Amino acid sequence: MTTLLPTTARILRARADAEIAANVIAPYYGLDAAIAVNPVLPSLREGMPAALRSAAPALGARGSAGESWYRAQLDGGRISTAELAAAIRAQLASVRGAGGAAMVADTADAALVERFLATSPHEALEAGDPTAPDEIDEQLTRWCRAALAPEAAAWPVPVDELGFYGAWRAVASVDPRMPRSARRRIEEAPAAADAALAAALEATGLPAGDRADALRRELARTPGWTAYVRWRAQTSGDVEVVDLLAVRLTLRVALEMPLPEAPTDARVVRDALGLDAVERALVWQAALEARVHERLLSRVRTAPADETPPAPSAHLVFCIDVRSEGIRRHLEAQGPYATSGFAGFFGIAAEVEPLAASAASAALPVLLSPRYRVSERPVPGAWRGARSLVDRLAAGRAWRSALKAPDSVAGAPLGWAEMTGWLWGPVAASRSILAGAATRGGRADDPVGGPATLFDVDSALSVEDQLATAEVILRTMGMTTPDAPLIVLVGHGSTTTNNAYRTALDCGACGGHRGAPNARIAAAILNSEAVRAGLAARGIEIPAETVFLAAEHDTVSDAITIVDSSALPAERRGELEALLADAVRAAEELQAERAAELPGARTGAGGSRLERRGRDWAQVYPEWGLARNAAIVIGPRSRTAGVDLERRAFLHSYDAEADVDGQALETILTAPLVVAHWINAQYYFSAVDPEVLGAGSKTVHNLVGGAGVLTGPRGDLRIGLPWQSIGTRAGLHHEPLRLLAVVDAPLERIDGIIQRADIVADLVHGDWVVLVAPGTEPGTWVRRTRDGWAPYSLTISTSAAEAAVNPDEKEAA
Amino acid sequence: MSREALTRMTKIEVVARTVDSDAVRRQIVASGASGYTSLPAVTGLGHHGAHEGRALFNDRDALTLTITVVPDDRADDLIEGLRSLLERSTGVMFVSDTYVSRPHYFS
Repeated sequence: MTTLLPTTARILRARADAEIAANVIAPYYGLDAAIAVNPVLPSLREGMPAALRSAAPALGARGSAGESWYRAQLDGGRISTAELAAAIRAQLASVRGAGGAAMVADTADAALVERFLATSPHEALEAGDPTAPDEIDEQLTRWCRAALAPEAAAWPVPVDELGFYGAWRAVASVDPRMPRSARRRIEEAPAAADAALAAALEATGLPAGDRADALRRELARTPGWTAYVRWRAQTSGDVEVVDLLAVRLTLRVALEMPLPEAPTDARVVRDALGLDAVERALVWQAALEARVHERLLSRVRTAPADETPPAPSAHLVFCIDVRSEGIRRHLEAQGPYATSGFAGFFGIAAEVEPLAASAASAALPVLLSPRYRVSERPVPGAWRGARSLVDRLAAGRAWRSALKAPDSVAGAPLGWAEMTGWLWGPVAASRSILAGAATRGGRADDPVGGPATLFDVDSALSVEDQLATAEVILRTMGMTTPDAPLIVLVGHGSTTTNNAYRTALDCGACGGHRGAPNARIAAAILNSEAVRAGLAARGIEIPAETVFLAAEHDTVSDAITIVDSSALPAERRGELEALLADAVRAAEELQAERAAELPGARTGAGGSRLERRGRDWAQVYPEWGLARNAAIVIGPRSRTAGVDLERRAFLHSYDAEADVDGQALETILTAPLVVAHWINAQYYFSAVDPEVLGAGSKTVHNLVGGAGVLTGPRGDLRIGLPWQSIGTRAGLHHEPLRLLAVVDAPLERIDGIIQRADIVADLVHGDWVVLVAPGTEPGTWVRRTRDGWAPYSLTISTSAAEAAVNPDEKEAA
Repeated sequence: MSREALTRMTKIEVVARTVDSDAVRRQIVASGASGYTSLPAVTGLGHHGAHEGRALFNDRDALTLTITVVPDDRADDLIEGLRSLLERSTGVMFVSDTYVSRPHYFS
């Protein structure tokens, strides 16, 4: 390796190649505040077919389920001959134009499917080829674990002083396991990461035009750590992909190991119908989706319901999360309640600082940057309770820290285990015997059991800013004329224990945190007299008797907890108690419904059983989260009220008539739709390739600080969802379907937004979502593609859709 | 004040997707530039049609304008470095002569 420093021009060129290469995978947000993301997000613009063709294979992954899995769905009746034939015809028309459609117009469905199936699955799209780790991968992943999650490292490494690459260079150049010649080369490498990368690239002799692709292949060998470093570069900025590549390339040159070879262009195999592997996969995928689309669209009304519902006694606003659909449906069935759906951060773009938390956290969608910070404070007279809570949680943190302290001293963990191991035996035994009996209150953001507090909104936001926030909330929600005396903003959170993926079950719209703080802040703003006066001047009259309350829906137990009722006059407590009594009944009914799907749950079990399940430290299926998500419905509740959408649909309220300028719809399509797609894509890719794009089984996970998990003691950081979020021993519980977006709005308004907002165009034109709107005839739908609107023909009868297979009826964990 | 009293330098402006602008800024810093100015959510009309500013609940999917000023002798390296970066993305770059009154701020 040369000891001459590369020129600035070469360093900047190397940096550019590294930045381009980094787009092989999306950032991974870690587990401290887990966020669902499409793993091939950087390739979104190229579209879903391109993701199957190149973006997923670049990671050694496949972008669709395997042909054998699809064939099993056909054999099992999940896909019908008619659905598959319709998908084949549509695909031929798409890739061959009118000629393609005409080619098989006279062919019967059965014959067409027979021709399609004649191709051997071995010639179709199958799994990618994740390469076995080599010496470079082993060393790099070990270093990533030590440097990026120092609390999990066997001994301290000087990353703070020297940086990721600099510290590695210092350690590796004296590492006795390394050949002497390699140590010398590493010592002679430039001290700065970007210069080292440039020097190593020069040493490889690669032509300049090939370097970005070569670096892309390097990063794809450890997609987990690459994705995590991308996130750190965006946030703390203490490490970037250039550092990762500097270590990789310097090590590769030092060990004289060749660069990963470029894949050879695979021979394109076409089936009897002229379709290649990706086109076949898209046929199967469309056939799989047809029945669910039929099933859901047959239930969503294409016109508002005829009868006007009675005036509600309370109106509850839930997060759009698919888990809210179930509780809304059951609650509405209990009495005169109205419900709405809105992004669960309730428009509060804040960093939230819970009373007993050690730090503030960004409680908003990752699409947004925090605009302000709101702190929780005890109400006057509650200082004693607040002090007690703060002391208790601080003592817990100190205790856990003390227990881990010996880990940072070489050799100490063994002695520590010898000394204290006997203590943990009884503790473990009692936790097992009393599984689920633990009490709540161990989290700073748990709304249950804390002292009386308030969020100090006035210190964070001027009245004018509060007014603007309130107006956005109400207009986007379509609630410009509040219709109930009691309006409850219901966030959500998940109470589980011993669960590395706990935050993945919390509210994604709140940045992977529980939703109660945001609900409380929004309610406080909407109850403010000054804000209401300002709203009235802007045409939004909130009746004086209307009170906003904050609540939280626990998605494990389905319990709804009112977290702040201070705004409700004492004489109106009866209204709240009646609501809560109905909420308990709704939760019981929903628990029974959910228990039928949860592995090992007894369907007759009461609510407390599901709640205990969340607190059982051995339970790997505390809840199903957002599994089986399939659609988002953007429209008034009248389209979906009273129908069962099986907890498969995100529901965002929208009133096209009230949205005169289309601003609310633009907000919904550019944010909640995007987030719903990210979630949908994370589940999709975790299901179609659980090995590369999923996190594997929870049972063999090792936590690496807040970064993520490893399978076993070493290797790449696992991205995506664990198997227990998507399947059981019997197979997939989550069906890998692209998001169906049902938008109840004028077509020209949707078109205008697609034209203006690139992100919406990318989703729709790239076939990442199937966007439909009500057609002009009742009961009909039209679909928007890059070619415009066209009738969306549903291929099967409603009765067949109703008979769609629920895998849990067949599968038992 | 006439331009003779000022120091001539090179101004480089890049309009790129907000998600790509971090890389633009890292490139600027790595070149030795002493700083930059970043304007998020810019609007306009260009090769890919009209671009709206920031959506209400989405800062990410917008365009960001990043501006830096460097001495002429550093400009070419940075220009090439940015050109390389923009080879595979949709950003555009403008380079122009500019004059500054406090050259030591930019050296």
